[in-house]
Amino acid sequence: MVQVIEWVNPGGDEIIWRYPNEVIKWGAQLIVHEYEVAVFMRDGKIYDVFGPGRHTLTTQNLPLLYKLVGGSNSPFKATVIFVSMKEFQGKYGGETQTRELAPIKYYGVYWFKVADPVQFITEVVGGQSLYDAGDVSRFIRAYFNEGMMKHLSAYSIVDLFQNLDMVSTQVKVKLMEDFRRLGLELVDVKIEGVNTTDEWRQRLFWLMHTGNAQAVMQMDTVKQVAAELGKSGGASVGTGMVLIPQLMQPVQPAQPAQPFGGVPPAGYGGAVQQPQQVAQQEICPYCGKPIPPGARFCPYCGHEIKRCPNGHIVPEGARFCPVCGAKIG
Amino acid sequence: MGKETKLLEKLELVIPGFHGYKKKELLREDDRLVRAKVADVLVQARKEIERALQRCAMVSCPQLVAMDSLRKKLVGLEGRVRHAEAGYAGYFDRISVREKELEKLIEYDARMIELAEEILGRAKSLGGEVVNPQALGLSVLELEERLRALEETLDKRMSIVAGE
Ligand SMILES: [Zn+2]
Ligand SMILES: [Zn+2]
Repeated sequence: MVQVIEWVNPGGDEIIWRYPNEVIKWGAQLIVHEYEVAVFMRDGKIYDVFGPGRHTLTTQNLPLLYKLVGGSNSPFKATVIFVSMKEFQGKYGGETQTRELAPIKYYGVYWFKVADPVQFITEVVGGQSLYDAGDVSRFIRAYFNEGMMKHLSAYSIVDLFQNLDMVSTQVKVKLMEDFRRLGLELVDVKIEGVNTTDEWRQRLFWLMHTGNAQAVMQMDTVKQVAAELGKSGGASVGTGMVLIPQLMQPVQPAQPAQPFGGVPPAGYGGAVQQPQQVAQQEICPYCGKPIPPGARFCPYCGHEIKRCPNGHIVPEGARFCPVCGAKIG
Repeated sequence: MGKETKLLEKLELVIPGFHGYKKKELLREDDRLVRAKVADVLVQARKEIERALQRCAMVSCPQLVAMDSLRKKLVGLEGRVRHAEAGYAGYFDRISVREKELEKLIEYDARMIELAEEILGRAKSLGGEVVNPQALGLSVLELEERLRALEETLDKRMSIVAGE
């Protein structure tokens, strides 16, 4: 009976399959389907590689293994690994910290495929001794996530919430390079969501509207500011108002009072738009996209935009407008 | 010597093994060779763009997102070109292929190769332009233009080959 080496019915998410029998006879039929590659290994080393087609194993097409087994025609030992060259989809999600140590959560989808099966087997399958498709997928996901965490943590929270397109493209390009090292091609990455804690969302609000990261960071919690503002009440606005000018001033001292959102964010080194252009534009404090003047809901993220009676955008939960001191609600 | 003859010679020159649709039994093979050639050039162009993307990400250049969308378009186009046969399986099985159709086919083939090579040429210069945002922006626009032209040519080619 002729030995047939074939990956029958690969599962949709199976990236590799190991032929269970390690004893191979000369004359065996090797069937490699479209979008597959078969790799012959021994002791963790790769010898011969076959592309799609029906191959009869002979001393001719397994020259390296034939040499290794000393030119004998008796059955020999080898591990046959099939690699799928199809595109795979993976989901990811995790937590990390931004440059300012703001906790963030993120999740999304990525697409990848094997670009170099020999390198992939050397680095991942053989290198990590993972011969099961599930283990390989878990390894790739962990590797992806580790890279995602590392690269995202180089950004500031303002970048993440205000320039997510740019950040995710930059991160993707870096991850592509990481994947290439494993013989994989990262086809695309989509960040579907990024989130942070309530406290950091408040802080983000101030960061985006004052651009003064240092001042905001110096305060223990931004909630304190809101609380100070809340306490004061009535005619005299009190201590809260003393804090605010410090927050507002350093970036654009000469700016006349104008609706919130006038000051450009502390963004991307060098690559940001001109402050003058942004000056007229209000920005959603939740997703960072420009919103129409006076909008009550953000057209991008749907978040309600709270305003004081004079039209300034105010943070959620604030009882007094941090710009003009007007009572809210 | 007609225009088609010249185009044919050019195609034979750049695609080893191409028969110019002269032998009926090799029509499919010729078709596959042309598409594989175009797709291979597009893959090279994509690799050039990825190299430029890498540099661009390092310096936060403003064309990053636009370049990435170019890359995605190229990936899609490469797949369409390479796996196009599914759409017109019946064409080369027809008993007679009219002369006029073949002429058009050769014309579109030549145009696709020309465009793919232009795309590759421009993609190669992207890396050097990363430091010059204005030049880079223009190149990205030019590349988009050519990708669109290639896509249109592919559509037209498909519609002939589908026998419309
Ligand atoms: Zn929004
Ligand atoms: Zn106000």
